Amino acid sequence: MKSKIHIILACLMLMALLIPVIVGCTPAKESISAPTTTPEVKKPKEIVIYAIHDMSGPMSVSTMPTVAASEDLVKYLNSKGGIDGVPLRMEWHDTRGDKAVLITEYAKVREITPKPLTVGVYSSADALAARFVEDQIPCNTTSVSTSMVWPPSWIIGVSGTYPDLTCTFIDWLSAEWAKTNPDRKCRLAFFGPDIYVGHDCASPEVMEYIKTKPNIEVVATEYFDFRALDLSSDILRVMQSNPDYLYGFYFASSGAAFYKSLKASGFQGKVKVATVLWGMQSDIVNLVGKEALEGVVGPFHVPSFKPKGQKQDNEGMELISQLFDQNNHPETYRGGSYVSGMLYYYWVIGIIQKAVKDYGWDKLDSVAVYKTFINTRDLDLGGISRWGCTEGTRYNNKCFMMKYENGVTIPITGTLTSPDIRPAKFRTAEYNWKAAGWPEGYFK
Amino acid sequence: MELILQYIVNGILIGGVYALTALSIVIIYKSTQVFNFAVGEMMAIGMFIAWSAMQFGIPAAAAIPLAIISMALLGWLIERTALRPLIGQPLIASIMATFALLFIMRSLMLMIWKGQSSKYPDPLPGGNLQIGSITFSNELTWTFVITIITVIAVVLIFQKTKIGLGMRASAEHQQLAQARGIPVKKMFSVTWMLSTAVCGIAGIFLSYRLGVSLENSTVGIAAFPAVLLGGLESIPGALIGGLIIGLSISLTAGLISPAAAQIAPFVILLLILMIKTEGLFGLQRIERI
Amino acid sequence: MVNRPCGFFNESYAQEFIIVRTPTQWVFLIGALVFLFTMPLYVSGSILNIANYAGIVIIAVLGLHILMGYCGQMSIGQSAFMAVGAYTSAILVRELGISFWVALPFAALVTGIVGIIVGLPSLRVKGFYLMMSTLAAQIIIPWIFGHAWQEVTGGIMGIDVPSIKFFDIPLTSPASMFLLIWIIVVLGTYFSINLRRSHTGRAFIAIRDNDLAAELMGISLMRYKLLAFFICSLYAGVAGALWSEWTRFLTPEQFNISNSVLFLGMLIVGGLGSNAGVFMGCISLIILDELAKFIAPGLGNLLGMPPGTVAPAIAPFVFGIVILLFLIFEPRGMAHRWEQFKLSYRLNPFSY
Repeated sequence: MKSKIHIILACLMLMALLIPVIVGCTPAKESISAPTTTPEVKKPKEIVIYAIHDMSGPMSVSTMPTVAASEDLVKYLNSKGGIDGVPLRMEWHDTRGDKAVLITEYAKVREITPKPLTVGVYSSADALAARFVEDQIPCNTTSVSTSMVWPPSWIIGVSGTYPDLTCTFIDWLSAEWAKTNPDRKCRLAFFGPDIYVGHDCASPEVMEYIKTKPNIEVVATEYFDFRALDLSSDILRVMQSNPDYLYGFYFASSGAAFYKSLKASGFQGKVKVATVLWGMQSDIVNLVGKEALEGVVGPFHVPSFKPKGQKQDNEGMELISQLFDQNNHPETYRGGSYVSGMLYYYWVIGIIQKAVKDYGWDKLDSVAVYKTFINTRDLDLGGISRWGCTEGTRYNNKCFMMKYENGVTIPITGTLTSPDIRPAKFRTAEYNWKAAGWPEGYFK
Repeated sequence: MELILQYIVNGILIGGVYALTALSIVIIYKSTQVFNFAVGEMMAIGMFIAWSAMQFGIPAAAAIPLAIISMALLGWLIERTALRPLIGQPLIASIMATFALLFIMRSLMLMIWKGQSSKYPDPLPGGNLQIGSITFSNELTWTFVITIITVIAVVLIFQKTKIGLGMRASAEHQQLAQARGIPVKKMFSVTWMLSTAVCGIAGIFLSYRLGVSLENSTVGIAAFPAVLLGGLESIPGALIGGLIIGLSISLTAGLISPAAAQIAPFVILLLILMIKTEGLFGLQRIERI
Repeated sequence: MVNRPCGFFNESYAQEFIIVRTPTQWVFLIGALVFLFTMPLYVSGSILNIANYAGIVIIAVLGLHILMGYCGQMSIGQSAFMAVGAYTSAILVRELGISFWVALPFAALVTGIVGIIVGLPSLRVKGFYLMMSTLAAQIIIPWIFGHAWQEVTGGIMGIDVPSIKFFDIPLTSPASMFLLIWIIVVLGTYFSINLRRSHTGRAFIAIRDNDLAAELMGISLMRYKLLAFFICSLYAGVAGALWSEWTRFLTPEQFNISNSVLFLGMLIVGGLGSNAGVFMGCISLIILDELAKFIAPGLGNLLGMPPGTVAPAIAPFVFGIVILLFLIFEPRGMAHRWEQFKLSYRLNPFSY
């Protein structure tokens, strides 16, 4: 009797050991055969858009609305016939915020046939930079840190790098301050979370750029614990240097701690706050309430999502609002993450559409999509925002300066172009690509 | 000078949250010798339950006690299913069990509440308290007052009630307590229920400050130094330990650098392990072969 | 009671300690090694990548197993030691231009020394308190890499790591990394098995069982406890250096406490005192992870939730449930079951 149980156990263990062998030995998925009879253009059966992102780890708060947005957009576009009659499909992979899982997931995605046209890796794409180059698959990403796009490779960003956006803010601040306070310098303090983004905002190149602005001086640079409960003491310390503006990336629970502590220590209203990108969208408003963010300014490319029932700013936003209402989503998804998700996929799908137009279906592959990415100078994103890069850069250089007023983010300028704040070593005429380990001639 | 005073006040108020978390760990450790690593997630569950109750329109004054009672039920469930079978096992088993619970609770929260971030409909009543030039922040003062009330309540439960007597007896010597007729297993259940209820209180008041979001569970890890500082079996020690840790974070952030405030509690942990292993009020272990 | 296979008797001291005893076991061993090292030929690239990750994790868990399984000291800081090894190797290769093959042993040595320093509290405290001190190390060490000497360590932003050069050929493909990693795994396992049957190994086990009695018997606690930490960190340093070459981009956030807990979980599932358990635990948890991702879309359709929300929640849930079930029903891990099975086979029809 007991031996039977053990035989069963042994069989189970044997199966557990054999499964990887079997899975590993199966041939790769068969390619989708295109219709061969017709002499007209061979269109693929579907276009799959791959995205590898942190859906359950620290960044999940902003990812889930983006996932919802992408699915809604794809559904809408498919109802309109997809791209030239070819339907679209999203395929999501979760990394749980773990870099090792990112690498293994990417290894799976690159093996899929037909070869992915482009892969979306939202954060930590820099770990895979060399692999994108080897596999010749462009990577579209949203959190554009300096290390991801310099040196320029096959990673392309939907927004500007944090240093570039910060310097757009500096440009705007310098101009505004000269108008309102021409007699003295503006005292700027960098006060950000002790994570990658926080440090990127105050990179050495940004500091160099500020030196070129005569009416701005940096009085403090401090980084706080992004797991902190309360930042009153940290804020008190920074305020000892009497800044006029506090600049940082205030997002998620550390952002909530910041705004609440600012109010609690009585400094709300006594110092102006500026933040960048996601610091102004509804995820942080959900946490702290809209009064806390009143008057915050910052560079961003995503306008506000007005509350339910209100008329949106333009037709593009109206469409997005309709799509949100049609597919049942929790109310807390209604906000900047959703809109930015929509704009992001307007961008990716728009690029693929442009690649189809420029290269045709038969030459449509990942290299064609890459070339389209780097040669697009001004792409319209749903009538709401614009994307464009310059020769040699791989990220968006267009944004607006936004202000948070009465519960909505409104642009207070037109489309601004960010200055090019590339790290110092890429300013030399000849960057020794080979010495840095990059294969010869990849940067066309 | 008043700058440092403000830092001290901030630190003590923050210490309230750490003290509550430390308290819930100590309550369990005192009775069952299990160190609950999953306090962060329990706090988050308490917070989500209260938030969901408020979404249904229940006013805060009723939603919070409702959440606390649900947390107590959850604690009973956890003890019954996960910890009861592990009673005789070595230390590593119970520690890993709490880690396993951590992952399970995290994924359940992801599935049920889908990673949303939000806040409570109404903030806590009252504004910032201002004494001289020292500001006492609204939410933190509330949390601190609730902490003191909870600690006093727990001490009273342990000292004055019959169940408290039973819990202390089981903590002291399980076999003797059983011989005297005290239902030790029931005492374990009550201990866990009390502890998760305290966790729930901590989570709810924490999220008045930080908002309702799954990330709040990472706050729990800074409370472990507080527990060891005060002594693993001492309830006043949990309070004192929490306050000292809060002070250390605040003073480091203000005087040295906010970036260094992240490791200040852990440096204190190392120091206390080197100098006085049992903590300030803990019991010294004498080992017999 | 260890029961030998039928018909094999020990006729000398050497035979008593032998690792591979019967011809059948030799056949299995050689077959397994051949199968392992020819895997790159017939297995797809993504499986190789998973196998590389598994190999690195197995090295780290082997070290932890020597510390916890043989010597009984609890440590939740294995990931921090990996960080030390990874950063040391990366900095040596990047800044000083030293070849990886020299940097690897040096990084392991440095990690070993850090391990001894972190293990110093083990002379005063034990059990739970030791775990707390390693927890403090787990938080402080990545912080140091994020904030100290930022020109060299790259701070929070991280650094990129040049690839390994084997006589001027960069080793970047999964297959080449696979060979490197798994050769080290095999060597590490052999060392660990050998350790068990040596004088040092017996001293470790004596300390685990009752350290006061061991001291009375003449085993120097200080020497052996610190040696255990040294060996554990050596393994972690090697794993870290390999990790730095596998991901080629290091940030302090990669070495967080979740990884340390994952290693502990693998040890528990596999069985705390056995080398086979390390392999079983690691491989089964990694396979479970992949399975969880595989069934997530189907499960999402079943529960009516969009696949995006189910997939991220499934993996930690499965991990937690599996560990809990193992703790409740089989606290000695899969290796124990395997031993029972072998025993039942050998002793059939007698009871075991």
